[in-house]
Amino acid sequence: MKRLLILLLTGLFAQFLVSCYPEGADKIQDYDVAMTNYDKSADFGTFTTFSIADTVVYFSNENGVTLSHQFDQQIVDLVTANFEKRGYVRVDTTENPSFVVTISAFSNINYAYYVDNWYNNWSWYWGWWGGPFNPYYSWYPVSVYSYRTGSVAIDMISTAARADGKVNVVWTGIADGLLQGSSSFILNRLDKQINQCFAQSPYLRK
Amino acid sequence: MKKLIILAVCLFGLSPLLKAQMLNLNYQMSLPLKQVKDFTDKASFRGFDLEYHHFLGEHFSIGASVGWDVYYRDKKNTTGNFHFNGNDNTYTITGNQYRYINFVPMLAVGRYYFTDKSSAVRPYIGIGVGSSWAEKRLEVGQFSSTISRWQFAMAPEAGMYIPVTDQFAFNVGARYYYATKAAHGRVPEIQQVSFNVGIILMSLK
Repeated sequence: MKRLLILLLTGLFAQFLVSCYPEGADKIQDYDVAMTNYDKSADFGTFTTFSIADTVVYFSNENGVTLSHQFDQQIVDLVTANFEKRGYVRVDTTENPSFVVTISAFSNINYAYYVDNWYNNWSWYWGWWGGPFNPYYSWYPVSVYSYRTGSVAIDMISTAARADGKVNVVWTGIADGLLQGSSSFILNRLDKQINQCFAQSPYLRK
Repeated sequence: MKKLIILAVCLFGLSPLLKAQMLNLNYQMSLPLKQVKDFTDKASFRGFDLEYHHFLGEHFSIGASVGWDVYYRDKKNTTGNFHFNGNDNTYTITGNQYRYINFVPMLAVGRYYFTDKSSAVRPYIGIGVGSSWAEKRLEVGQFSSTISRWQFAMAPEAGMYIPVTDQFAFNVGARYYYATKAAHGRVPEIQQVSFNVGIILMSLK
């Protein structure tokens, strides 16, 4: 009888331990992050003007899924406003901007790891401003994986050529999260993370 | 962990066969110090400790102790710099950070008891030496980083047990754990003060 009681107590104790193991992220927005990377040798004070593509380019690993462009304008406006707040002036692509800004959106399901060059199909995209460079990134963008995830990447690309001929990306901001919930919910979270990308990059100003 | 629990159940089942021995199951709470405090800050209320002691005469015992402590902290919205496998770039990431440390010390323990076995209270001091397994984990957004290593560990202790019958007693104790850093500091040096409360099954004959 005593032994049985002890067995029972031990079992309860184990149950208690398992049930109180800490949980971590719970809500959808708990997974939202803003991540940035920049060229440590770049002098952001020397940039003056920029141009920006007026659409967002979508990359998806789901075949046959067409992505809506209904929020492009809102995203482009938000990014433009942030760069203007930092003292840069938006000009047309024909006026020799000192950098160009591209916005790309990624939607993924179950990507295990994503360190390879993203932009294999990139060259067609470059038509809009006729850049002289090969479609290579100077660094590999971050891996994006698992669940139905979405990332919006903002790339600030210097128009000055790099010695190695790669695309001269000087700053990247990525808003990354789960693509769950209503459009307005996603857009709200996206706005917040895009603003955070700029907020955590104090060096980015004229 | 499951194996440990099964082992505990088996040992407790065998307890009436024991001679001049005791089994001790404790609830354990721990206060982090230094590097653990820097990482998770908060005290751990998730912990336990299982011990076996064999008496050598009236005043000495040797034994073993296995424990488990979980530290956890929800850092909310925090900015930090991170590296990813496969490239050297530093990414600044802002998001909700969740931090964990799991600490599993396994020690050989020697004890000295100040009073003899017929006393109502038996205060003791002791020291444990052995190794510990520590796992450090950080999650931010959909990214996570986990590293675990074995460490050298030691733990001086002081406490007392209070016999209720000649087979059952309560235990109260405190321990200071020290475990060396590993993986060039990526697994932190662990220092903590742990408090134990638990039950003892014993046979002193």
